[in-house]
Amino acid sequence: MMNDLKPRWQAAWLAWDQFWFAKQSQESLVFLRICTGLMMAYIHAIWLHDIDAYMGPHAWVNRATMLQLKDGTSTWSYLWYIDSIPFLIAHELLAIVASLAMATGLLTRWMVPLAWFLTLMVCHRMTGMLFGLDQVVMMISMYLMLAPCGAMGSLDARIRNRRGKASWLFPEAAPTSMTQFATRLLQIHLCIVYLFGGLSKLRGEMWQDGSALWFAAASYEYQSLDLTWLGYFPALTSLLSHGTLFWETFYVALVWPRVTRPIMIGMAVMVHGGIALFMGMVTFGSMMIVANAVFVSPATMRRICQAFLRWREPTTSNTLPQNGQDLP
Amino acid sequence: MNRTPSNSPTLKQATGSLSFYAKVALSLFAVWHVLALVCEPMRMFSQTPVRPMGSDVALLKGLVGPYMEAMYLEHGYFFFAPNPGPTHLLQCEVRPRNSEPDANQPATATLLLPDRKTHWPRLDYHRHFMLSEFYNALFAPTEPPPGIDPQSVVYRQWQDDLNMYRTLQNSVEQRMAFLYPDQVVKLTRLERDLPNEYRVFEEKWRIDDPRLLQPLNDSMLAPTPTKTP
Repeated sequence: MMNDLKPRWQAAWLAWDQFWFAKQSQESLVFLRICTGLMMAYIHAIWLHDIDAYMGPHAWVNRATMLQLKDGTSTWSYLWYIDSIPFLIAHELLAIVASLAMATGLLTRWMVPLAWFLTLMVCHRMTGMLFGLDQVVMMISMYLMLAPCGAMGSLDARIRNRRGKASWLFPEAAPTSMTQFATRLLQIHLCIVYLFGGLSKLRGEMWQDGSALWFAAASYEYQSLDLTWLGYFPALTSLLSHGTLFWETFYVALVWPRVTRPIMIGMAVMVHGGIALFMGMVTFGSMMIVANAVFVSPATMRRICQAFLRWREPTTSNTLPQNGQDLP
Repeated sequence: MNRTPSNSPTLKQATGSLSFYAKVALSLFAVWHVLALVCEPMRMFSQTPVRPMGSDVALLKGLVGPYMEAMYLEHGYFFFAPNPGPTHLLQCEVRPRNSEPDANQPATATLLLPDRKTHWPRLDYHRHFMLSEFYNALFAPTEPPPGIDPQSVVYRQWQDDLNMYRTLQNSVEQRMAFLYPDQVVKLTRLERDLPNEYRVFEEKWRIDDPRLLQPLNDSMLAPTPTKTP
């Protein structure tokens, strides 16, 4: 009996090991790092442009209110205790610098955790003014901290090449287990987002009868481009509502098989692209599309990048790096 | 995804950069972390009018709650769910200090949260939109629920909710007082209803039609005003 079980346990461990720790290349995470870093810089720039109204002594939600709101929770931020404008400006400037360093891949091992931490402190301070955008940039940056995502497509890679040797701070552009571990966590997190997004919609009668998309389109506060023409095509509105419902609910299962993965990611691009264009959330919509890139394999991401570079500079097509080498 | 068979001779070479114990530690962390990820959406999913959450979720929250909150993972992911609903705005009016807040004289200044004309770029607009929704979400009526024993848990909960709502109200009023010194501030929650297709195509209402925007009372006893501001 024990002899029968041992190979099964071994096979189960090997499957687990393969899923979480098979060595993976960084191309997909590099794309996520660049986009997330730029978006974090923009988020902090917006906080900065009206810093007093957001976090200063005359903020809409002042420190005393925030302390009462957070009483009894496990959250903490030093911004609950400091509302000096010079400090806040310095804080946001540092966050912008760290985010841009993350995007360009300069001292990535330090800058990704720094950008994540500074944004986390702001998130704990700004309760009441946050939305899905903050959730998705925090989600992506949290997992990027685990992987050597500055190993390619970065200033770190240039420094490493100039020095002629790799180190922990300037890692080699080679597949690693931690890249796979970070990728898997982000993939699972994204599946949980969609699963509960779908399950929660199943409880709503507007999603059941197919009218939800009309009412989302008829919301003036969200609207950026007019979508009310959809009302002339009730069957289309209903189809889009039901399509969104089924796509979100079954994303968790259908994004893993290779056959259905492009369909799931294609639908994500359409749904989030629609939110970005028509519902006034271009930042959130575009970051959700970016997050879906975690399901694009590094090899495909490399091919996309090479195609882009060939299109931009046809003469450089012969000098493109091979697998395992750094991207320019 | 890699599809290397589990008995492939290259497997050890492919996964060998971490020690066995490191992999076990990371595996335990991954399980813990995924439990934290599902905790808040499960709490919201299992919430009913009679129970704040399922017993299993309460147990899970006791385990992973602090980690979840500290890492900013307490999200339900209920986007436009269960249904797309009316939106909420906050109207901040100021009048000279010597006038009554409810007097008929026009306000000297009115700020609307959010306002497309003043809140730009769009992300700034959305931040203020979230604030007005948050303000409305924290609302607690000025009177306790009728027939409730003052010693009961429901009564104490209402007191706490009202206290929190008033604190936020004061904070917004202080911001207005800073922007408009020596003025009296009046805050009004507004609700914009969503028009159906009949309203838009047959009755020719625009989605920003003033008739869709209604003020909300802080007192549950007072009749809801019907006059559009």
